[in-house]
Amino acid sequence: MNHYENIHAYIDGELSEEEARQFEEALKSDKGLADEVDIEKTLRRGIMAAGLREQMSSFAQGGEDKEKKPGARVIDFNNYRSLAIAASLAILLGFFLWQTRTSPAGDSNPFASVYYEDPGTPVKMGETEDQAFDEAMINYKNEDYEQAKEAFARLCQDSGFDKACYYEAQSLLNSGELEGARDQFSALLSRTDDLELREKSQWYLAYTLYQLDDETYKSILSDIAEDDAHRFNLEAREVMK
Amino acid sequence: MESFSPEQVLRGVMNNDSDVLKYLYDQMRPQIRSFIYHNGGSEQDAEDILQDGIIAFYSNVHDGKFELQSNVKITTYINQICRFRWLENRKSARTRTSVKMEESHENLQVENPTYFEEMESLEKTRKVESMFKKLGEKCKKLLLLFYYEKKKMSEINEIMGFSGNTSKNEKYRCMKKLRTLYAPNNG
Repeated sequence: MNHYENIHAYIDGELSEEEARQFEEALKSDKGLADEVDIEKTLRRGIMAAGLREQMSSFAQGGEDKEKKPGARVIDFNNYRSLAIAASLAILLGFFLWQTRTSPAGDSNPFASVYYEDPGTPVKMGETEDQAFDEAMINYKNEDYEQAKEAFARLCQDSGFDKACYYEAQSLLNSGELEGARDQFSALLSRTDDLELREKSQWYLAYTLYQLDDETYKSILSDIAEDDAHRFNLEAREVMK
Repeated sequence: MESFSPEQVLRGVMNNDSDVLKYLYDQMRPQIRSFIYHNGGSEQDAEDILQDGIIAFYSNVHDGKFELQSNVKITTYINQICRFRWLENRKSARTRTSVKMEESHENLQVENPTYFEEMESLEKTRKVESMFKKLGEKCKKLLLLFYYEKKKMSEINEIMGFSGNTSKNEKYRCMKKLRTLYAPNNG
């Protein structure tokens, strides 16, 4: 057995009792060997982390890599479709029961545990490109929503830059101008193909409508809850509980 | 959403059970996102920190360093690692932003030395991950099959279209390459 095979066998617990004892004796006196064992363990940890991170990224995108599951069941399309129908019915039933509850004004805020303000985008200081957007974003991050709102509105009107329109809506929402926020989110949803902006607009429109005591927020949440890949799917499900 | 007991979570993490891993991920995601957003982070920051926290927990379970305690929930443990990681990240990047922080180390109910060790270990893991990306596709696949998915050499032979000792030899070659990338002076 060569040097590295010996290290591997030790880490994997494949040495005999006597061999392991001798290896551990060597570890005590040989700093270089101890370092090599440490590196080997770190490499394995890193490989496992890479595998786990890849798998979690698929969770983040709403998927689940069935091939990665040891002994995973293969679900044929018909069964899968049945499950999907059952899941949809369960969501619809939940939605029906939820619809029959009292109005939001009478309840504690169901968004409270999952709602957060949109934190904005990173600002690339010192770059001239998109400077107007970055300046507006700095105002937004500093919670100067009045300035941010005006700057984003100008960008939205002048260039039709959807992200600027989205943050105009966010600025309106965060400064309490709910009708304006509602109209801007709705307008954006009716025209943009940008998936991220669409999903965020849906979620924040639902929240805005809730704040306005407009019951249609429930149907938006229901749509989000039915879409496993939606970035606010878990939050919507939590609100609907 | 299916629910699992702490013992089932530990067993599932040891066996890479994707249902359990997804359950853990889904349990942690809203609270970590909320924390990061309220402390000046972006969506990508939240995802990175969440993944780091779960990786730290996963590594400790596999290394036998995590023991269930009646007074500490698994989700609390991961949550604290994520918070500590975020605060450490922000500390090193403080000059880049003026966004206010609502959280500080003092608010964490943790023994800091333990978490500093966690951070050091995570940094090493991150470095290996970044070197791992530099390997060829064949090496990456083989190493993931062996170390992450715990496949036997005979199964890897079948998946990769190898025969005889090829998987074993290739694994040795790929590990040597990774070791050289990670620690050039110890290759």
